[in-house]
Amino acid sequence: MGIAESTSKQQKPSEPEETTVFEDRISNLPEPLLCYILSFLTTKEALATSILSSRWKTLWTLVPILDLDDSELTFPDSSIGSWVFRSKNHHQTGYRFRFADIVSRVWVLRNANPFPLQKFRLRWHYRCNSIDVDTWVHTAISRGFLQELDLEVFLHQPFNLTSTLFNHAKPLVVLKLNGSIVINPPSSSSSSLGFPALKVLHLHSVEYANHDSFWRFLTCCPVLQDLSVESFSGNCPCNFKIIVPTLKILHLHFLHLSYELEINTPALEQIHFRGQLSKDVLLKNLSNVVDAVVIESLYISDDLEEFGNRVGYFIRALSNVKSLHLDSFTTHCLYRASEFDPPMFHNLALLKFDGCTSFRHGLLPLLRRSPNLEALLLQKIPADHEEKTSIFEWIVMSSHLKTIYFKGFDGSMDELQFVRHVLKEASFLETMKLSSSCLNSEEKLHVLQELLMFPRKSRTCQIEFI
Amino acid sequence: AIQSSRFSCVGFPLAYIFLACKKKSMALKLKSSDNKIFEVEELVAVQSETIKSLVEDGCANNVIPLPNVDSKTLELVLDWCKNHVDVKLDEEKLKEYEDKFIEVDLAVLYDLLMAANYLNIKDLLNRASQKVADMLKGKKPEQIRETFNIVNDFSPEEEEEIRKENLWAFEE
Repeated sequence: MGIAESTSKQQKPSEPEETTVFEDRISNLPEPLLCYILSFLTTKEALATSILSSRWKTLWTLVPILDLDDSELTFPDSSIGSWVFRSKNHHQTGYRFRFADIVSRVWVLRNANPFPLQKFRLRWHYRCNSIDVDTWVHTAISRGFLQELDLEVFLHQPFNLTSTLFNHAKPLVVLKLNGSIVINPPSSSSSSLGFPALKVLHLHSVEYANHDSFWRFLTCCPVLQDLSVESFSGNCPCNFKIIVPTLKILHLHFLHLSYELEINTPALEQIHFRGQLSKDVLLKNLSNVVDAVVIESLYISDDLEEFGNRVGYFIRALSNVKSLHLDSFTTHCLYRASEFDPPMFHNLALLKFDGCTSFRHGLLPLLRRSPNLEALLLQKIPADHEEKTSIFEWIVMSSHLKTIYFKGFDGSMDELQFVRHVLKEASFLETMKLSSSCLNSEEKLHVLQELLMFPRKSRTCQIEFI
Repeated sequence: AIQSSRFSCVGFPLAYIFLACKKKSMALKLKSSDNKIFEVEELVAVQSETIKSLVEDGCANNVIPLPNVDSKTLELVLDWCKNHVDVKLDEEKLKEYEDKFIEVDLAVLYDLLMAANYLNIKDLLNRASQKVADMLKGKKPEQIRETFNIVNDFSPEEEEEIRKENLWAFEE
């Protein structure tokens, strides 16, 4: 298989043109397949194909997706340092575009299509009008086939999304809301309300009408699997109570501290926390989490001990993880914790340590509690001699560690020495992977040649430079 | 051991089907439109939903004919499937593989599209569609026509009419 495969792959697009030069194969593809290809384009890009030939004239209207983004119509005007509407001064050519007019026109053109809309994506940043947005969302869901709704709108005044959403969006599988939208589910807990098929929910930078709006929203999503919450302003304190038995993936990003968070998700497999951990965090039933990322961002003035305790509490709940990704600040906090009693991470196979400091108090204690670690990703090696020696000793002692991925390698003497020592002494290593952003390909080749000369205690150890 | 048990079952089709259901990593035989036989592991082949349903219906005990896929394309498709058996393996490497895989000339790309569509292999269909979509994106109509050999059958007046109707979409 190898030979045939490599020859066909290496053909350059220009070479075999004699076979295709007189043939318009793309236009002869089956219509559903062509529409599928067009569904990878925005509506503007798809509409632009209507001019190619009569075959293409109305194809775009058969695509069951509307994807409209007002930034496709604007351009950055460097002279005034802001975004202006592209068509603003096009009077001389006899036309002007308003985004709302364009979207309305697209609706009309598309309405000739018997296939109902399955996905509606709208990005509207400039002079967004809530009445239009509401009307379009209403239209999109009212035919009862919409599976994906993705809104990103910015207004001076956040607006309540049509309550139709809660009544008629039964087939909805993906719902992404971003921007000036108020989450305000109807108070009646009637079972006819809600999203019985919703699996993916993203609530980014939205506002919540009441303290319990978020929680009430989640109760409308009985089969939710993937939840992403971003909250960047603590103006209206909210209780993020996530008690979802079906949830598998959870992304959280908080850039303030005025929130309460409760997670109780027995089926959760992945958790990704970024931002600031508030004092009101309650974690339960996270024993199935296999993949965790915790990246804490703090202000210098914050009380490190207090935050260390919070990080410690968070990580303790994740003691069954297989893959853990921490940044240096998170581990630095952890070190300052007054009451952190780190658990043993018996299942931990992959540790990504994305930091340049805090090895002694961050990385080393974690390594010592990860007896079965198989892969270790490091951004940098410590400059401090003692820290370097401790890490080296741990690597040499470990009988499970198979891969070291040194991501921020820059080929300095110090780093080369470290790699050399590791290769020379580590018996169980299978892969030493290096990547560098500052070396050019010639320098990389040079360094690689040098690396390959180093003696290796583990004979099967591969060296990769990417 | 697998080899011998397969031979001993030749005369007993029912037992053979039972075995086919039991042994997950059994090899399947696929026949391309130009009559070449490909022997692949079931785990590789069932990434095609089309083949998967044949297997589930117990129709996979003999050679599975694939009259819409030639051997050259099938070879490529199976290589893709082999590399996607365990997607969690190494995301970076997989992406590298996919990017390289899809760098083919248009004729091959069409063959892959048709094959992925017929065999119902979602990730391959998506990657190939994305590739074509990228070639349509941000290009002038004349450029697109040239790339794909599309014959413009509009009169200049008709073309101007279409352009006028949705002028916003033709701005660069």
